[in-house]
Amino acid sequence: MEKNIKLSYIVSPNDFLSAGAVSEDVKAHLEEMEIDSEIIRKATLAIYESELNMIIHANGGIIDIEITPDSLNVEAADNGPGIPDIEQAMEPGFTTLKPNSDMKAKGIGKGRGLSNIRKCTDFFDIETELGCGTTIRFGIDLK
Amino acid sequence: MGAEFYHSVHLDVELCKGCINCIKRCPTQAIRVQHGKAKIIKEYCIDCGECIRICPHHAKSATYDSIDILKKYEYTVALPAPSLYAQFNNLDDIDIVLSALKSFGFDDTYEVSAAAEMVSEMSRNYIKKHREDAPFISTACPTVVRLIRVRFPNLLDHLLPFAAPVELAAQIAVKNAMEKSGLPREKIGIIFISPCPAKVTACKDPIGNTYSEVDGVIAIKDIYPLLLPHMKSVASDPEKCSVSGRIGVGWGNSGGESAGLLTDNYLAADGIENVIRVLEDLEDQKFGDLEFIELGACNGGCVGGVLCVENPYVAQSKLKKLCKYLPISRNHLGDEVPQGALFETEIEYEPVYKIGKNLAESLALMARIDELCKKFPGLDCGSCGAPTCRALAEDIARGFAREGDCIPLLKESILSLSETISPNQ
Repeated sequence: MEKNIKLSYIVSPNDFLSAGAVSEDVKAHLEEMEIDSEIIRKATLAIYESELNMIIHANGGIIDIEITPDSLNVEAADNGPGIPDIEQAMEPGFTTLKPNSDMKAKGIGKGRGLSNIRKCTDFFDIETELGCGTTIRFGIDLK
Repeated sequence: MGAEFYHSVHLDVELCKGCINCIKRCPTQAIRVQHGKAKIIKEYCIDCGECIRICPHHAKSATYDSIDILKKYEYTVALPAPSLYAQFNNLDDIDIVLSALKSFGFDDTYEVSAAAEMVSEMSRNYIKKHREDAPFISTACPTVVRLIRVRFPNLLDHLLPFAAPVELAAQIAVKNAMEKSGLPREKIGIIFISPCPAKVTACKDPIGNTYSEVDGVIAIKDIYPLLLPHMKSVASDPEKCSVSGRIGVGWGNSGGESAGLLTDNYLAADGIENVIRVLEDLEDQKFGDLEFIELGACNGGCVGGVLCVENPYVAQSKLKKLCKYLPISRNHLGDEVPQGALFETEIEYEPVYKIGKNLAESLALMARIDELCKKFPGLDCGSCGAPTCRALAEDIARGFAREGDCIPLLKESILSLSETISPNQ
């Protein structure tokens, strides 16, 4: 009777009102399972950050999620411009937004995105191609 | 602790028509309609009173004590909630209410608002000392505490470790009454006059304390009409007995408890849906550096309790007017924190929403739920007796319902069946 759960979401670009829809849905799933609340918190945060990344920087994308008895695996593929310097992008505090961007007023652009995701996850991988988009994959142990 | 999940909202089966108003309104999805009658799932019920408000057939009610409870004791003390004062028109002196309570039959009164001022002071001291653990969540609303206990385990550490002011008030009232009357404890009745059913539950089945000194809880709406004639007769010369200031009385309104903390760095939300949204965002750490979070399940705060008489917003305005000429605070802590004001035991997480005994089992069940959800029409029509399609899917996975309970699906299958039997019609 063992089965994995697969969830797939389309994230639309610049749609701030639906930011958090993916992370909330996954959270609702996890909350009903025998999973430690700290793990749920990390998973929700990591997914929320990748959702925001897609909405703000990357022209939307697709988030695929698989929950197995051992781990939560996420693949987030966006339609963005790609990242020229991944190492720089991973640094906490790095942001491409200009200081006077109106996004700043929304509390966005503090440069926490990618580094935050890496901090919350047990496995993290990023693949990017300029002009084509970026795919991040991460996993969180559920046990 | 709390293993029994006592709740004071109760259903009159005779009056229930099996409509689905309550299942849609319940914020914790605690109600199902089965075999034509509503049924409250006691583990999920947080005593918010929303179903009492919405039920068009008045089949839902709160369980509380009748006024006759006064006869059970030789000496009785009334503990009026500040929201009681907000029910009366043109009330400019709290002494009138307190004197009327005595003239009505109580031997003494002790205002919950007086104890609230001490809880405010305790909270101020506590927050100052533990600033690094902020934000702190108020524990004054028992519905909110119950909600956090079953749904927001991450936030349990943020709860202030204090019982609601009525507990402290009851303990002080017991001490005063024993001194004044010389009677043993069992002959003294400490009666709380409550705005809501959640406070009834908090006294019968306290969370964080092993027992409550409150002996009985009566509803504001029951005592309100009985007090009016007494208020008229004492109005010209009421006994001077009120001991509370603006901070204590203000607790009846949403934002009142926060005002007592003398900081601007707080958030006050009222109404159960709003409270849930705040808690969800708080859990996701979407707030910055707030010091205090005041949450009240009822619109407007305690004045919006389901056992109150007056419109919550009118009551708010009345309470504000009443506070205007009161001194800021008239109750202060002595050298030590009163023992009864603190929670005796830690509030523990009750995972009532979890499905499956272990991760593998819950995963399998969850996959089944997702599968069922895809099959259902997604109308959330409630015809099956569950509030949403997902709730029905969960009930099926838990073994409480069947796929055939979905009425639109059933309709579809009947239609296709009849088409198979007589294809020309």
